[in-house]
Amino acid sequence: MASIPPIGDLEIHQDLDLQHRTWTLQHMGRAAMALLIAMALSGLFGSGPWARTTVTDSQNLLQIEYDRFGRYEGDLWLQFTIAPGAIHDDRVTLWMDRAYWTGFAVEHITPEPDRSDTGFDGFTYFFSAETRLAPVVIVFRLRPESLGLLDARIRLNDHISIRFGQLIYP
Amino acid sequence: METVLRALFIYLVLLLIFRLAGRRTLMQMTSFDFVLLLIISEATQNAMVGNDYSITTGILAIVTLVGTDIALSHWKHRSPTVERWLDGLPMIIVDNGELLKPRMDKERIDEQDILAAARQGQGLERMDQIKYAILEVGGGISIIPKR
Repeated sequence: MASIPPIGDLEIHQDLDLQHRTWTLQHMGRAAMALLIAMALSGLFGSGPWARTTVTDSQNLLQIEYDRFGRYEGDLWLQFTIAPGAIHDDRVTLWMDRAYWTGFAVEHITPEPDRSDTGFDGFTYFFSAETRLAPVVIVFRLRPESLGLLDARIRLNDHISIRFGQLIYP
Repeated sequence: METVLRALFIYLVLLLIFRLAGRRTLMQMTSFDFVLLLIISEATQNAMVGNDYSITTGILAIVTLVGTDIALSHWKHRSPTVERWLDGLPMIIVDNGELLKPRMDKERIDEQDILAAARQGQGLERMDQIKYAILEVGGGISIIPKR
């Protein structure tokens, strides 16, 4: 084994060059950690001011409030606000694209749908909606079971469609 | 497979975070440091096993963590470069009784830390009795007294 050159009386393996490089990396790493905390506080990892947003169709009949960012096996919710003008025959049907919807486990739906159907390209939920004066609000509580960018495609009563993206973190 | 990947990822993230935090982090083990360590382990556990509380998952996570640690120690043993980057190297912070302040400041060490190490390890009373103080790889301070 190569002998270690002594420093004074000490036989010690000191490398100040490496130490300085380590300090520089540590400073950069600590700055990255501070940035990560700031991003988390702003809601970029879910739950925060930037975490939720709304999207509305061109006729202003359907509004969806959703989480931009979710976490694998965390909690997400989608809130649908449906204007009275979009309700026909006291019924509301919501269709979710199969590729999007299979990324979630549906934990709870408020109100409960009358029934649901599975089609070749998506899932359809049928709700009773007798109100003609106030908007109908439907909330889906979901648990993400896939990762990455999800392309949400949703249709109301087969003629109003909305598309948005959600990012699910590991 | 997911448990193994989760445990491996958590191991590497913890290694990176603690390396970035510096070797003195959690070294003094005050009662608050101890509580902090427990909270970190709790958060880590949730990320590793999720909602799966089965014995199989627990064993897989433990085996992955210990196995990764053994593999990494073999790698460090064979490659001094890897060892230097992962563990760092010892550094003199008091040289012939002289405090090397810039190094101490970078490592968040003050005179009191050195005196405490001198009292605990060597039973020394004053700074002028210390010949060398060395910040070791593990974050501890070893003291060589003047003879």
